[in-house]
Order: sequence, then C-alpha cells, then structure tokens
Amino acid sequence: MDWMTRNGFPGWMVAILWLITAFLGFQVLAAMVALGILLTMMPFSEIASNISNLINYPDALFIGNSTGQILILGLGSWWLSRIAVSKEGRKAYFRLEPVPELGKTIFLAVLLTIAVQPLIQWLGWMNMQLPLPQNWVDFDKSQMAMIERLIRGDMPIWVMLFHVAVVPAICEELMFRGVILRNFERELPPWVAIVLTGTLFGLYHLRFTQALPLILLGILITWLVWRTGSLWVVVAVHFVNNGASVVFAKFYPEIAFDPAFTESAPPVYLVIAGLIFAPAVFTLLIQHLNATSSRSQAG
Amino acid sequence: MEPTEKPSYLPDALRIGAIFGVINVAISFVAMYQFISTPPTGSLFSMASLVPMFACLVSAFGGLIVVRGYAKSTGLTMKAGDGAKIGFITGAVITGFVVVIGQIWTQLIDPTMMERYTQATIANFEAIPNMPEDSLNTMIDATYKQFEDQKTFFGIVYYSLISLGVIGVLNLITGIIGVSVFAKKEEIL
Repeated sequence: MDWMTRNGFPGWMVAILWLITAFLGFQVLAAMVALGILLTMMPFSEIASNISNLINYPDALFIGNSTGQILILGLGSWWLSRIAVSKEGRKAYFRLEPVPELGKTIFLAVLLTIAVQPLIQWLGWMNMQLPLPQNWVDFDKSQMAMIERLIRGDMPIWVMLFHVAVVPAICEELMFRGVILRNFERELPPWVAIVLTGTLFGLYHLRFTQALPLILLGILITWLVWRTGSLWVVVAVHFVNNGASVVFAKFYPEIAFDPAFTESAPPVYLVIAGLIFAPAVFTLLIQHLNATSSRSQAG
Repeated sequence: MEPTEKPSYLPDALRIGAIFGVINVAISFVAMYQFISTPPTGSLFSMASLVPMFACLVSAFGGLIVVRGYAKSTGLTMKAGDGAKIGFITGAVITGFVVVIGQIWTQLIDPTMMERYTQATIANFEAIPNMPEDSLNTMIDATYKQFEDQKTFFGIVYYSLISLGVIGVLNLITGIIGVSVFAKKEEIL
C-alpha cells in the first residue's frame, strides 16, 4: 500500500497542494538564483533601485527560471512520485515506458498541435477582448517585453531553445501530466482529470491575457498523454510548440513582436483551415492509436 | 467493526465555516474602518495591513474544530488525510463566506468603503518621512491599480483563489493536527 492510501490523502488534494507548493517554491528559487546572478554584476542597492528595469537582464531571469523549473517542477515532481509508487514503478507512473510505434504517434500529435494553432490564436484574440484587470495586462506586457529582449539579444538560439523549449517541455510535463494528472486520476473520472489538469496548466503560466488558448492547449496535451499512454509524446509536442515560437521570433522578430500581428484576430481562412485540418488529423491519430492497440493485442 | 458508510462531515464544515467566515470578515472590517477614521501615522505597517493576517490565523482554527467535533461525535478512527480533507473543505467554506459577505458589504451596504480605504492608504504613504518621490508614486500607482483590479470580475475571482489557497492550506494543516490530537488511532495488531 502506498503512502497516500495508508494515510488517507485524496489524490485531488495532493495535486492541488503540489501545485501551490511547486508554484511558490519555483518563484522563490527562481528569484533567489536571478538575484544571486545580478549581485555578481552590481551592488544590491542598484538592483533595489532599478527593480522595474530588471527585464534588461533577461539572461539572469531565464537562468533563474530554468533552475526553478528543473529543481522544483522537474526533480521535485520526480521525488514526490515516491508517495504514490515504488522506485521501480516510477517509469510507469510517469508514463515513460516505451509504447508501440512511438515515432508515428509523436508525428501525428505534433501535426495535431500545428493544426489547432489557428484556433489557439483565435482564442488568444478572444481572450484579449475580455475586460481584464489592468495589472494583468501590464504584467503580460512586461513578460512579453522580457522575451522580446531575450530574442533580440545576442544569446545563441540553442541556449534560448534550452530555456524556453527543452526545460519546460520536460519539467512542466513531469509535474502536470505526471504528478498532477496521476493524482486527479485516482478518484475523478478521466475527462474531469484531463480538463482540471489542462485548466491548471493554462492558469499556472500567469498569462491571463492568453489564458483561454493556454487552457485549450493544456487540455489537448493532457488528453494526448492520457490517450497515447506516453509522456514522450507530449514532451515532443510541448518542445515543438515552444521551440517553433522561439525560432519564428528569432528569425522574424519584426512580425512576431508587431502588435498588429499579436493583438489582432488571425485571418478567417486560417481559422477555417484549422477547423478542417484539426478534426482530420485528430481522426488520423485516433485511427492510428486504435490500430496500434489492436496490433499489440493480437501480437 | 466500524460501519462502512461514514457519516458526512459537510454539515459541520458548513456551520463552523460560516461562523469563522463571519469572524474573519468582522475582524478585517473593524480594522479597516478604524484605519479609515484615524489620521495617517506615516508607518509602512499599519494595523489594517496586519489584521487580515491575524484574521486568517484565527479562521485557521475552523478545520481543527470541525475535525474535533467529527471525531468526538462519530468515534471513528481517522487518518491524517481525512483531517486534511475536512480542513481544506472547511477552509473553502470559510473563503466562500468571506468573499460573499465582503462583496455584499462593499457593493451594497457601504459602496464607498474600499475607495475611502484606498485614499487612507495613500494618505498614509504620503505621511511616511523621507520617502523618495519615485517610490511614493510607484506605491500610489500600485495601490490604485489594486483597488481598480479588485472591482473587476476576474479580479474578484483571482483574489478569491488566493484566499482559498491561503485559508484552505492553513485549515488543512490544523485539520491534520486535529486528527492527531482528537481522533481515535488505528490499532496495530
């Protein structure tokens, strides 16, 4: 009997508690690491007096962010899994065991993520029409300004990909589609667990002007891991989603950071294309998974 | 042998949660009215900024009291997780009452209260000796923004979730303590 069952802790509570703890721990650790790096560049009094200009030092902030993600979200989740499973059961718990025809599954899952992009963008535009508190809008702008500064800076693209695509793809997936989904699944019906995990993933990013698209993406990714039974699929999807944004913004910054592009609705033809292609790819993926499952059972 | 169907703790959680919700709001509002009606002290930490923390700590006992009542009335053996669950649910009830009473009060009974509180907070900032102009303006802007945010629907949802996190977790902890103090332990054969 695992620790959670022995002590009567419901899965949903462990999921919420870990989310709160990881969120706070991540914020504190990321801030401490960033502060430590900044202290090697300037005295504390200078940091304190220029607190609103810290986005001018994206390197320090991103190193802090990645350290927080790796140590708290990634390793923390890996360690926390021990309350539910033995050391030997970890791979199965995180759905890291090999599944048949993984390459094709990853390909179709990535294709599905690309096909839903116009809908994601349209939802992002819808989200921006909501009467959100000004603080949230300002906070979102400051985050975007920091990313823009990083992208336009002289940091090599592979380092950017590491901070923005590799680390979140592994660490956020271990936490959300690992610990949090698994705990919600203990008592809740799968669809409730998927919607809850996806919603929390969307809100966790604290980008409230983009909460709707992030929630939709979160639900899609959570469904993918549940349906395919492999975390590797969603690590790849997450990496491609974040990595493509970085590569696009690096090579076409004038488009990527143009308010006319980021704050307007996507063209209607793109949304219609998404509405046609997304269900088509979705059907292909389901057929592939059903066929793989039948072949495995027959074999 | 214990019955398989355990009695519900929800009636107790609702009753105690309501009482602690009212206590939480009462403590906070008394401090806020006191702050509004007194001249600015020029101190960065006022009673009004510390009292909500005190109110939170007081409402943390809700989970403990519900677990105590449940353990005593049912006589069942309880695990730490049961206490955590009862405590967290009690915290959610307390938060619900705090938010609803707070909204009724500030929207219907005294709609100018929050604005007067914001003005008093700003007057207090202005009375702080040797405060640099830039820092003062930043603090005033932040106070106004927070005041404006709290009036919007999403702002209310956001602050309610923060309260749920804080009050829920505090009650969860006292719920676990309640189990270890008041509940019957499982016999080890």
